[in-house]
Amino acid sequence: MDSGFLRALEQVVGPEGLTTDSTRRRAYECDGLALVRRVPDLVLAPLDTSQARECMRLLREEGLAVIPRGAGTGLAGGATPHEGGVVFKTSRMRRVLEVSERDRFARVEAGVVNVDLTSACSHHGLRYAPDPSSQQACTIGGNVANNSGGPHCFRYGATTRSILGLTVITAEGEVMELGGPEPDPEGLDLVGCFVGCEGMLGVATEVTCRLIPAPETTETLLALFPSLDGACEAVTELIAENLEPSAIEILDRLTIEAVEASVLAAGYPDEADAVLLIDIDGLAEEVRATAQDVGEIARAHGAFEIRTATDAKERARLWAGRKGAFGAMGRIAPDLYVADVVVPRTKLKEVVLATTEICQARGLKLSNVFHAGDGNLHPNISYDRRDEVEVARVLEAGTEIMKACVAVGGSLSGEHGIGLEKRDEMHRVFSEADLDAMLRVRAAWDPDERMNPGKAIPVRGCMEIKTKPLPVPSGGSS
Amino acid sequence: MSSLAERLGPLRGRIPGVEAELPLAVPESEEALVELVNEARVGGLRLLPIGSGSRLGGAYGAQADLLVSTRALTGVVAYEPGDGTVTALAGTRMSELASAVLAGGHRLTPDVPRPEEATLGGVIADGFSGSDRLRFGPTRHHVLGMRVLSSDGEVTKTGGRLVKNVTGFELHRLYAGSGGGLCLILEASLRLFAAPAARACATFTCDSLEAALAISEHLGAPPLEPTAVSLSLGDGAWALTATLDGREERVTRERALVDERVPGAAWCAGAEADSLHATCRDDSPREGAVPSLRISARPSRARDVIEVLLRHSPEAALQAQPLVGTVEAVPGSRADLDALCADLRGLGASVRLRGAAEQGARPTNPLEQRLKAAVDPHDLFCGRP
Repeated sequence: MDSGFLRALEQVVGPEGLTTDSTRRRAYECDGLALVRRVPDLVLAPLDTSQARECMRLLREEGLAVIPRGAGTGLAGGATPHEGGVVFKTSRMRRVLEVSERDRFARVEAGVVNVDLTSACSHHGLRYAPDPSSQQACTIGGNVANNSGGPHCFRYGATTRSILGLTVITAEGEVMELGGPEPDPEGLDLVGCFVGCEGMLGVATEVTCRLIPAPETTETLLALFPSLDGACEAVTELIAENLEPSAIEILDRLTIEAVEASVLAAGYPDEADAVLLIDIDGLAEEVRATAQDVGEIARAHGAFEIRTATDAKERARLWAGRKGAFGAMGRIAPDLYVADVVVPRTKLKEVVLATTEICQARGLKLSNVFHAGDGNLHPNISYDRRDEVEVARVLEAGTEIMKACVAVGGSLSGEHGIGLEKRDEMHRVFSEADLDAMLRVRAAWDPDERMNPGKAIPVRGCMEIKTKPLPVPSGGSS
Repeated sequence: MSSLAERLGPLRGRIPGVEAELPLAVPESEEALVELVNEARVGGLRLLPIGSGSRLGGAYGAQADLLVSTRALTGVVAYEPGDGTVTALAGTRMSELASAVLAGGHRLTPDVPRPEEATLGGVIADGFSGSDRLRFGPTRHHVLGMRVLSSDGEVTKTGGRLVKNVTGFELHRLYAGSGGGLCLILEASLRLFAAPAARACATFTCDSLEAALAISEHLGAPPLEPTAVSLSLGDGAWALTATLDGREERVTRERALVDERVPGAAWCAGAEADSLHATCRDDSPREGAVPSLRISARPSRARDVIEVLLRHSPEAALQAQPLVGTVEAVPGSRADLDALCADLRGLGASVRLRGAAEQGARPTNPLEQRLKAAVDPHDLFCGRP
């Protein structure tokens, strides 16, 4: 890169905000989707909105592609610089700018870590609802880009329902204030349009988040089932009966074994083939009544024991096991393919069975831990990326799982996003015209398509690309 | 006027602020609607998409050649109680939809005024959120997906029928609240919530705004979570109504909490509470030729907003959701609307003047202009958010 250009950037962000060294750049060659890697040409880490705007203006002059990145915990390759370009990292912007107890919102910089936001507002009796499993590391800005979920989305909705306003910098270097603490924006809902854009419309540098009061009572139940089928059936009936817990999660036996063998051992029982982990929030009387109904439905579908967390410590331990489950899978194999698909909640059992058959047919090791209440499945396939044949089987299984979901009215992603991983599968749910509509909206924000190019929306006019599998791992290039 | 407009028959409609009556098309099928849009585009006509036409204040003065209503496209497309979602055609009346999902144990959100008039597509395009917004959030949060008709005459899909889904851009968020200015909504899917097993309403009559807002603060403090808290002014007194609903156990406990915090409420329950809740909901100002305002501000500024409104227009009719921060109002005929809007914006409120033209209104931001040009390149649809 031109040295004058680099000097200009350094004047904006300082030496600590600029990574040119090839070894250090290698840390940004992928996100949580380790199958695709490419070392970026440069990594920029502005400290605030002002620096971010100046950087973006300089990048525009050079016509460089911009790959926004939070903590890099995404699992779909949304932050992978697969066509080169500049990684635009927001993780140095981590100030909590304002917490309003009265109006129940917080304004934070995009690099604030999810769990830190809840910590910052907990002494006001408030919390931030979206809680992805990676919440100890993922950033609010990354959550906005991916419209991230988490177990408690079941009741409180995905990130989009918790975002009131944004400061966004476009590829042109414009700073836009979208929405705000007022309940309704004037004009179009640009905040709603931006959330979940996977970095393709701009970079959010500040976020106004809706906060909710901490509940009076939370009860955590663990229902033990002799089969995964029974657990799925119970969830479908819980939904049909209109019970409204705040989270409904399923863990299968392999997941339980992995968690219990890890440092996150949560006390999950080894005699169950599946467990339902359920949180119920609300007024004490309401929680008690709902817990009783939940227990009855679980028993009717074969649950042989219902345990209730006795205190906050036990509750925290049960949830730490759930949220750490993906990490615990490292005991099974060196790599984990975390699929993320979503189905109507009446189809849970059917699709879980199909998923099992797909993996069995390919000799793959499957475990399940998922947001059952939302119909959001995470079939996890353990593998070794050094084995190219196994990698090919994993990718094939991933595609077959997506097909099975779409066939019953489901979709490609419940919370991880499309990124690179599923980009070329988008035609399974959207027509050419649907995708063109997305591209038109994108062009209004980013006419030169420099923001995170090559993600989420397939390149069309070439049928071959629709069936091309993800590239087999390469060493990357610089 | 082109032959298309001449062929449409005797139906006529009127846009507030526009003298002339306009031809009103009510296509009875999606195919007929597509054909109409294509003909209009070729003929250089501009369309104003409407539902039943019950809230056209936002289209004041719109320069349309033709009104196009989706009210004949009716019916529930998919409702599986176990999925907790419903999909219906745009012209389906909200009351019909609410009845359909109630049979499966669900409540329809938003709970809009006069649901027997309002259509699903109209409500979503208008962006109006119902009386239950305090507990469930704005309408735009419940829209899971849509099928829409573009000015190119193409039918496209965004989102889906799933409660959780991040597949593709959420264009439905852009279309919801766009006032029919970007596309024509054909069908939409909504997330549903559990129908309440019990309901109780508490009413308070106060002689000052300050006293009414103090009560509303008590009603909104955790762990209370009312479904609605509505404030209105009539005959010099402030009436505050809180709707509590949900499981029996919840309503019983919430009633006790309200009595503990704010003694003196007049209570009703069951059918009487349903009726009172519906009355409060339906008392929302009608929109049309008479100027009205939709004001949105931080809840902490509700008092300032209402005071400014009444200072400019002491005779204003208003209905507020103070814990949400929204106020709907019909100012008196002598109010200086431009000055009123400017003062409200000075408080940081967002203001939408309906049924009148506003001098000095917020200029459309350049991104919105680009989006309009990108999504409706023929400038066929003349609605606005």
